[in-house]
Amino acid sequence: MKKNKKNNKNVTPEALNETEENAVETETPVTAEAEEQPIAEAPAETPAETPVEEIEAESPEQVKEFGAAITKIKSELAKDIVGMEDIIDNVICAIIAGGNVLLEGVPGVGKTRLVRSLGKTLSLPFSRIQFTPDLMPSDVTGTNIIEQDEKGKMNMVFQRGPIFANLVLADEINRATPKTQSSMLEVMQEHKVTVAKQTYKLSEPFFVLATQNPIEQDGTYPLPEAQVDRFMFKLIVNFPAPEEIENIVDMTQVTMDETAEAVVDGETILAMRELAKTVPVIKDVRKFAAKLVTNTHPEVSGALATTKKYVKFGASPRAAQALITCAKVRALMHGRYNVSYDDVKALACPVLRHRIKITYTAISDNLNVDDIIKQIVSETK
Amino acid sequence: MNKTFFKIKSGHILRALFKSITVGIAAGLLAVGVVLLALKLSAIDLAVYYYIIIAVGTALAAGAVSFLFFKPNDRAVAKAVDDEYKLQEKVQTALEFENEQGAIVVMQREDANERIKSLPRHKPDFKKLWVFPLAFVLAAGVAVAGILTPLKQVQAEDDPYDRPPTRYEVLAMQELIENVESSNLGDDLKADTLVHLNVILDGLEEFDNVSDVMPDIENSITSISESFLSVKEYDKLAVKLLEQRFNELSDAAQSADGYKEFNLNSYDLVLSFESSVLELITAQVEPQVNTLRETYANLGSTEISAKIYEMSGRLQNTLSVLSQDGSSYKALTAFKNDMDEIRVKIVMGTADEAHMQHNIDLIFYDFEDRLIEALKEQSYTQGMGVFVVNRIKIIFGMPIDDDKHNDDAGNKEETPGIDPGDGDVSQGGIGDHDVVYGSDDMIYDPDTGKYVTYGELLNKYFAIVQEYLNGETLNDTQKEIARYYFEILFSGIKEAD
Repeated sequence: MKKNKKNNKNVTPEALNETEENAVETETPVTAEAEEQPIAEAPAETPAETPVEEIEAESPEQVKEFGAAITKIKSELAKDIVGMEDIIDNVICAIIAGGNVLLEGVPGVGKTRLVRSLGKTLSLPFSRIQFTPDLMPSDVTGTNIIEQDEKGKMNMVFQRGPIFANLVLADEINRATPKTQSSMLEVMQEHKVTVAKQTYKLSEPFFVLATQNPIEQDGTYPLPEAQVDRFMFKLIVNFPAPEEIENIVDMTQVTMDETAEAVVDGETILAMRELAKTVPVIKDVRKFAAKLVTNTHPEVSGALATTKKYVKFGASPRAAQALITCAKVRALMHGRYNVSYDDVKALACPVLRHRIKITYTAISDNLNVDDIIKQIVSETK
Repeated sequence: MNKTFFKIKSGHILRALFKSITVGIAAGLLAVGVVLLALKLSAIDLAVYYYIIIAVGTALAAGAVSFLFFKPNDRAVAKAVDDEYKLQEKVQTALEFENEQGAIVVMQREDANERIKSLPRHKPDFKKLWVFPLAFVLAAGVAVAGILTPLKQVQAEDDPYDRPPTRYEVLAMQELIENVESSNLGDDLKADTLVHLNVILDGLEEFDNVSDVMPDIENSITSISESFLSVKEYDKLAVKLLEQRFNELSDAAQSADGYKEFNLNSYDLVLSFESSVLELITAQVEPQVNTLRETYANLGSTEISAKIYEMSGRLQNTLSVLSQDGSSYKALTAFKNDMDEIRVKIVMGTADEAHMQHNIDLIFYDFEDRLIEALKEQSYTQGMGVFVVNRIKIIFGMPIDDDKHNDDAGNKEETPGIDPGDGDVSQGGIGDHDVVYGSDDMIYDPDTGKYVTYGELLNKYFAIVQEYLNGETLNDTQKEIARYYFEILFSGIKEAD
């Protein structure tokens, strides 16, 4: 238990207030399915499977409900969040597409509040992990502890870490060491946790929304490329406008707590995801997405002059996957039943900005990564 | 896809047809314009129907190819509609997934169809096709330019004989006639040749233009050649003996002396040829006849009779292939008859046994004389034939035939008046193979021992001659010849210089 307490030292104060033994701040009670999630005893080669409720084949009604659900989520979030429409749209898009999101912004712009409100709105178990340099991997994933049963027999029992939730806020993720950051790799990509050769499947839907502060770089560890690539979007949370700040002040005078209510649940999210997968994408748009990703690579033959000059290395094929997957969701969110070039172009910056590395020439030319992506998009035919 | 889509597609096909027809007509006009220009500037005139075939053929081919290129498929139409009405790939998606099932796909299709239906009535937009009429106008411009361009007139080649006869030609012809008159040709052949030569001379005096005389000149050359060839009965022996001399004669006839030393009787060359031919024939015939005669020496009458019989048979065979009116035929026949007479006397026993060898020697001597005379006459006739024909050609600047004799002599020169000379000597000048002009080619000046330009040396020589032309040393004929001579030389350098 002592060890457990030690492990919990990095979690938020709010979580500690709720329980001394659980480092996970649980805003929304863990669902029955999540609680009953069997801890796999099988070796890692035979991972335990979480039974996911079979999703019905899409129907016109579902398509209509999709739009309604989006509207509800956005209206609920609007109760707690001022502005940030694009951020909210993209976060919802990534969640439905099944991707993780990296939020970057200065402190106090509402990143954490957004995620907390989202957790409430989606009625999903939510946990928040405050990343610090001394946070250990086991603090994230959990660890085996010795537990005495009623008969006095000592057993090794897996104590789940805060990652065992549906919506995980990895706050200031770049403050943890690479070792701890890497513990997120398997979780983010495969939605599984492996501890002591035991693999534990996380309940679906599962999302990681990480935040990082772009200005305080002392004592931070830049995220490794492998991990960055696992974030579907990197969203830049800009400082709010004066009128937005005024609205924020007014809003928080009543209560600091999030007032959003649950309007959808995990099953709905999964159903929406399945529905989005059926959105048709014409071959030309798919080719455009692939070409766009290829055009971020300066080393390929026929690379764009812009890329050769300003890009150090380009995006991985995951970027193309993310572009098409999210474009389908975006199309539905905009009331369309097909993906257009505009969807891909609109998603280019969130999908690509953390996946490409720009050169010093770009920096010296006073260009940021978004400028370069926009230029590549405009040059891609 | 619904009917509206296909109506839109029909509009696009109409546009494609418009483009293709315009391209086809423009290509046809352009092709005919370019061909017209090219041919007219090359002075080639084609019948009108050729141009029509070119225009129509090109128009059809270009129109068909361009229609294949411009003809829109469903996908292209869908993309055009999406782009034109900013439908965010709705139509393309509906088309690409028209055979797919599923709620979203069906809804997408319905949505796309609704959007297409709600589109304003689509009319082909011909405003954006301005480039095609422009191409048509440009091509039409080329065609009109081709039609209006006048056919280039080709100037007929300069006729070298489109000029008045020169005094040189008249004098040279007179000299040739004198040479023939004083020759040893047979009376009939001489008379016939003189008729032709006098026709040429009369023509030179009668007409103001040499080209009017050229038909007579050419006919005369042909007739004279045929006349001389008609007496070409000399045998192989004569051919072998005379080949070398013919070549010498031909060379002599072409030599520059023929121009320069005009007053020198060219016929001297023929005379010297005649004597040299006689020597040659004698030198070749006499030993052979003597060898044959000696086979009869110191024989008895019986053996002589047998030999004459044997030889007579062979001679009969030889005579059967010779022309009977030729001199050599006559010589051989006389020889055979004389020998046969002796043989008859031997057989009859009336032969003069005591003078048998002497009589046979006399027959052989007679045969030798007759044979030499026959061959001499034939070779002389042939020599005169070559001389007269070549002389006429040289006088009028006609190319000399590259006949057997010239080939044997290795003389390939066809241009009269230009001494090929030594092979190392520069031909000089610029120009094509037919005409060579003097230029800055360097030539050796024997006075200074230096190489100077041909033109410079020519001016120097003409300055010397000019003094004589202004003086009284030369008579009028000589002055005229000298002027004509330099006129020819200067005509060779004036264009380049």
